[in-house]
Amino acid sequence: MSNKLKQSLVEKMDIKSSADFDTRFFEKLAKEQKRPRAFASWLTWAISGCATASVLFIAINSYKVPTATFNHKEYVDTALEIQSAMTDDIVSDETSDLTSSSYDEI
Amino acid sequence: MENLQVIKTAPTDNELMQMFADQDDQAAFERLYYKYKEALIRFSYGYTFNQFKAEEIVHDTFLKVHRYKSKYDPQKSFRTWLWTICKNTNLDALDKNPKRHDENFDDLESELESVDESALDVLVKQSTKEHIAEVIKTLPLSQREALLLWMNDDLNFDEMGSILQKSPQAVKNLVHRAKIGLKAKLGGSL
Repeated sequence: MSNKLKQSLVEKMDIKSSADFDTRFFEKLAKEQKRPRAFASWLTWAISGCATASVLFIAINSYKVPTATFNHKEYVDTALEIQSAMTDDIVSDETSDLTSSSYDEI
Repeated sequence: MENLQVIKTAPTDNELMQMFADQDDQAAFERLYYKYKEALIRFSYGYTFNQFKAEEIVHDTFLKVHRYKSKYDPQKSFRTWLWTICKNTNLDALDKNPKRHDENFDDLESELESVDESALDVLVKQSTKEHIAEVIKTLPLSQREALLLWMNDDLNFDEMGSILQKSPQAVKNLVHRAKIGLKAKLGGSL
């Protein structure tokens, strides 16, 4: 009985492919086959991998710290200036008297 | 030994697919295409209810078979692989359509009532093609998928279970429920 019911349903849902179904499919298939498929073979992966690795290798090895981009003399002068300004403000440990406070002076 | 005749049988689907995968045998691919295209269109129509869309999905299915032939596992059934690709292509197309999520699992554990298949057969025969399609459209997606697989090919419940990622018993239950739903809806409208 199950097969009879199945047959009846198949007959009622009988959808036939349209006339150009096969033509459309084989056109799509031909288009797909013509399209160059990058990375389809291991060789493409190997070549692109080597290229990426060599670019990275060259970029890393040719990198130099840019030394000439700042004025060295100016940098040293500024550093000395800051250092002297700081030493003027700092009272040495030998001369400081931790027992006296500013209140004592008042 | 001299009289021993070698009976050459037609290659199975698995063998044809293997010939296509290993030797790029286009004739083997075409044999599979012509064998299954109508059944797949009918199956896809049960998802889309639109002939053109169903045909596009079947085209995509065979293009995927062609493209991913190297991924075919000869240890597994070609039919199961093909129907799984077609089902997934249909589901992908439905994902673009928000009406997909119409599942109802409320009664999955409930007792199955028996269905009088001869009465259902009469109802199906009395109904029009459009009406049957309308009624199938109202079934929950899981039941519809199971019914369409059951209708369209000589797949057994184990194969259907592999395609739908359910146990064979669960598929049997879904087909049964679909029949009950079909009978109720066709019976009520006649």
